[in-house]
Amino acid sequence: MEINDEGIPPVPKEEQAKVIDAMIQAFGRKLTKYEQEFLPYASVYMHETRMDFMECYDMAEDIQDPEHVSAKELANMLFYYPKHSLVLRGERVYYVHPGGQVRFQNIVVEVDEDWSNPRLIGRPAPKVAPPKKGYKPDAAELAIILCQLLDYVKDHNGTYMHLPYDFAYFLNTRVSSYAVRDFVMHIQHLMYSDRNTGGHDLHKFLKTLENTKTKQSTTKH
Amino acid sequence: MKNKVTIPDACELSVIIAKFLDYIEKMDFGNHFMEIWQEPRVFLEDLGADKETRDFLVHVYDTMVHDKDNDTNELQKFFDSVK
Repeated sequence: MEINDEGIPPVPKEEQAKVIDAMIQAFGRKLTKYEQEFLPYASVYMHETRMDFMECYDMAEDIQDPEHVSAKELANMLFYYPKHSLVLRGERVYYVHPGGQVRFQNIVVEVDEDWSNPRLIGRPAPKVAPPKKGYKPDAAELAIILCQLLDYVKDHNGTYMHLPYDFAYFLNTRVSSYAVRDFVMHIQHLMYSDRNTGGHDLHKFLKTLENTKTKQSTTKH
Repeated sequence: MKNKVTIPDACELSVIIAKFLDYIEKMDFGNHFMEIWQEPRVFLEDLGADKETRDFLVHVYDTMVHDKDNDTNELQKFFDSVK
């Protein structure tokens, strides 16, 4: 792996397995294919680095093109913050996509120095149930949610957003029922899941609702 | 004058919302947000909304902002009128 050329020692395979086990225990579920793909990168910096949120933030400020920072570039930066711990502290886990994108997630896993006692720190997402068969929310309500998103973006212009990870909380305060929230979250989940697995579950799900309700035409005065 | 308004399908709107979040996620630490609300019509087109949906959403958005700025309730009236 290129990262090793920069002087960061590789994490032994047996330690990588421990990291994966720790994450599985902390997340309370199996890792997705997507997560497994980035783990070799994640485990490298998890092994080397410990920093608080502000350090994370400052470091990200130094990245010229945060959308397309490479794993190598990130590893170089992390090299200057070695604290010989295992998992980032602070508000978010900081890791690298297989494609080289920087990503923050509202999940922090902390383990002891001997890789034991994994624990989830921070706010886990609320439990979201799949929508009932055939259920479709009111389009007007969804339109309002979408417009509130636009407004939210306007209010947070240029600042760091927690929204993609706190979306369920965002919805909680804006929906008429949890059924609406669950429906939207389910769509989001299927979209992400399809991307990770190459599947077509979103399309299949939407197909099942095709005849539930058609577009309504009316007149605006 | 009356304009025909098409209420979008709930599934279509949900997919747009999901794509919207995805867009925001990728924009973390960027300064590209301004483009979203300055040109919401273009942004919504990028997210796959068809013209009718864009027209509807932009109308809802403009009305919502108007209500917020003027402490009015035009959006509710609009939805009542198209029900």
